[in-house]
Amino acid sequence: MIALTIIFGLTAALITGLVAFWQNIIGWIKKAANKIKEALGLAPEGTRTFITQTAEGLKNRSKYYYKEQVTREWQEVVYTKAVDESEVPAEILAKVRRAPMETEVSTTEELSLAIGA
Amino acid sequence: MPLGRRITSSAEGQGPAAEKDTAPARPAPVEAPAEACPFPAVEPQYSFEEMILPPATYDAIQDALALYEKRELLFGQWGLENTHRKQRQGGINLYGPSGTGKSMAAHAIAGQLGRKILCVDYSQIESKYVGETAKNLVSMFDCAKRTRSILFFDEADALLSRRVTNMSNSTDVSVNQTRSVLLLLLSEYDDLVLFASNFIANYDPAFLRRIRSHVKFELPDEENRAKLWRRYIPPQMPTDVDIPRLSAQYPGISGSDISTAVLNAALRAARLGEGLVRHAYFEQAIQRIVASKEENSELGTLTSRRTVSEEYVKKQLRGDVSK
Repeated sequence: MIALTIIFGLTAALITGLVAFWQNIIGWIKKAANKIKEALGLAPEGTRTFITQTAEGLKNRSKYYYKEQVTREWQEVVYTKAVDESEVPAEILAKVRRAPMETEVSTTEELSLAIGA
Repeated sequence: MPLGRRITSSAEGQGPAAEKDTAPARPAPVEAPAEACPFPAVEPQYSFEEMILPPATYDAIQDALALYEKRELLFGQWGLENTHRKQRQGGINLYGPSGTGKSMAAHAIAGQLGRKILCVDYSQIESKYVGETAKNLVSMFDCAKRTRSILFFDEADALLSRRVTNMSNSTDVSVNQTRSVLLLLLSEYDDLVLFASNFIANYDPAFLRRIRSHVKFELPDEENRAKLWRRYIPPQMPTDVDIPRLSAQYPGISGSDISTAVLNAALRAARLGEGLVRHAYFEQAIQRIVASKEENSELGTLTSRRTVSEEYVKKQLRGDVSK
């Protein structure tokens, strides 16, 4: 009984942690997209988000793409933000550790569903 | 917003740019009398006496200006004409966080040299027609030369960002043509050009090589914050403000933030019909600014903004780039 309670507790904590992680990223992406919209009066046409290991620790990197209205030039805007290692789900953290460059998280099902909702 | 793919189909349109020719040659200078210049120069609005700069920043600007103020000594008497002839020209790039006085410094530089300043208005030079932007640039340099004005590119990364390496359409050709013409103009221009930017990392390396001096602007330390509070609070304003306390308690703010806070504190006191701009109003005003900055910092750092080709964007948004 005690073991079951511990397992349930750990699972609940894990799920809560995962939800918080994705919610943080989604909130961040939406904020940056809104900022671009506010400043330039046009919405980004796409975005990609990565987690990367740097000398200063883990970082989220989000790229946004939009087309400038007058010149018709494509612009790429990149926002970078430090991320606390303890907030990153173990599965993604393992991927980041293995990846030589950066790990894309925008293609993960959780994030795509949440953003699309 | 969908991820890893295009959001709308509006990107397919090429607009009028696709209908025009993409001649790579540099457009001919526009001949027009000086009084008919479409890019008006103005008298400098600020001087160094009005500014509060860290000594290192001020010294770096003055060192850069020695090239223009001590030209005869340097290139004539000291013989640099024989060894550094090509370094007779070159621009000064003022870079650092917003609100730190880069634009004011550009005016102050022009003022110190006794010249007018021609502030580049991108909306006047950028055109959706291929080749027109380059032609406008040529005309602008021509205006600056004929009116003996100092050219000033504010937010210069918009124009000096890296060129597109993988050109896929006429838009990309146009972007590169504009930047190439600007490179040529800078190489041939025998006068001072000023640039200001928050994002020096975005500059095309070819532009960086052509700009001789780079001067870093930083947020003020406590001592300079106190000087800025004193500068922006008029002596006749009735107030019980405690400047040392404000300066110590609110780091990470710019001169522009302090100026805004003073105005907002005064507005509140005036609205409430009080004869005194209370210390608390300054605190509330600066707290609102700090809060808005913190909200912005939740976005993280804007690390890059650059022009890219449509081909590149297509690749990125399909997610088929190699990882």
